[in-house]
Amino acid sequence: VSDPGLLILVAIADEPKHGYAMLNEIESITGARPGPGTLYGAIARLENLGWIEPLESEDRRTPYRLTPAGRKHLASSLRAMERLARVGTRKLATS
Amino acid sequence: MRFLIRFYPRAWRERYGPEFEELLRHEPPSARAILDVLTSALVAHVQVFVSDAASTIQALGRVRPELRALNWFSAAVALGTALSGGYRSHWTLEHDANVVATLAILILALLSHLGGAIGKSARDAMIIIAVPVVALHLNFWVSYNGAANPVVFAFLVAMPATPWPDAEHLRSLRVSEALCYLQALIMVGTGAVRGRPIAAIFLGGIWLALAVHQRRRRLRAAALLPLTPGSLSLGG
Repeated sequence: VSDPGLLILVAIADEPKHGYAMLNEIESITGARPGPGTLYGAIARLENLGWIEPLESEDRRTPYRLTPAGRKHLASSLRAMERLARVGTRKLATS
Repeated sequence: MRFLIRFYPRAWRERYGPEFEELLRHEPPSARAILDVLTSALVAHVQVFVSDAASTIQALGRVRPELRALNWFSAAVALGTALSGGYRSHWTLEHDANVVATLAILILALLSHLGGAIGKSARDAMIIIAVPVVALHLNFWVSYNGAANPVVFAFLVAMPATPWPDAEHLRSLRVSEALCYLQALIMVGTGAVRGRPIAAIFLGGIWLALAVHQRRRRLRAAALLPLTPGSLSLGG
């Protein structure tokens, strides 16, 4: 999984997080740390799509949380990935 | 690394600048991180450009009905000129295209200049009278003097220095900006085709500078508008 947008949605699925906490969470999930420009490019895109929204800033850090539309999109993406993984694993086993 | 924020578009910096700066303060500087930020800044600029172009196209579709009708008329004239050009002894596409583009710009300039002062119905009447008068004079002038169009420069300069902070003013600025880009393209294209590269670069450059000037005015006017949903988008 390399889509930074999807990784952000996963990172904040349980609770709101600011940029730095998102980077740490994504690094702990995938083992790779996205660049800061990549992260904020994705944040801007997700916000424009209405999938995340900012909360009140704390000490110049702005936490973001999922919107209902973002939650729906994440659930649908994860279901699609699950189906893909299932089919791929089955095909590998039979080859 | 915080100085890298300067490479982002202004609208982006205004929205995300403080929190992004805070993030950069905690990130260890590395060549990879610097490259990542510079690449993302470039992408943000491209997004602004694309969003801006889309808004301009939308603005072109929303101009006042009489102006829209004139645009159709101008388009028909341009098409007719292009189709008939091959059969004429002196094909002056350069002049004809200038007349069409110039007329549109003049009308937009008049719209901007008169709209705030005299009201919409009077302005519409002025446009109806002004169009044929300006067309006749300009056609005469262009026929004898080439393609520099200082008359248009004067009209553009005469546009009000204090912008009205309303959506219609922004639309007219957008449209005149788009037409300046178009005129720059026409200048460069016709100059190149006619083997006059210096004139192409010089005249095209003037129109490009005017387009950039219009863009700056539009952004300044947009900054005076009250925030509305979507105004924080990268389209700035």
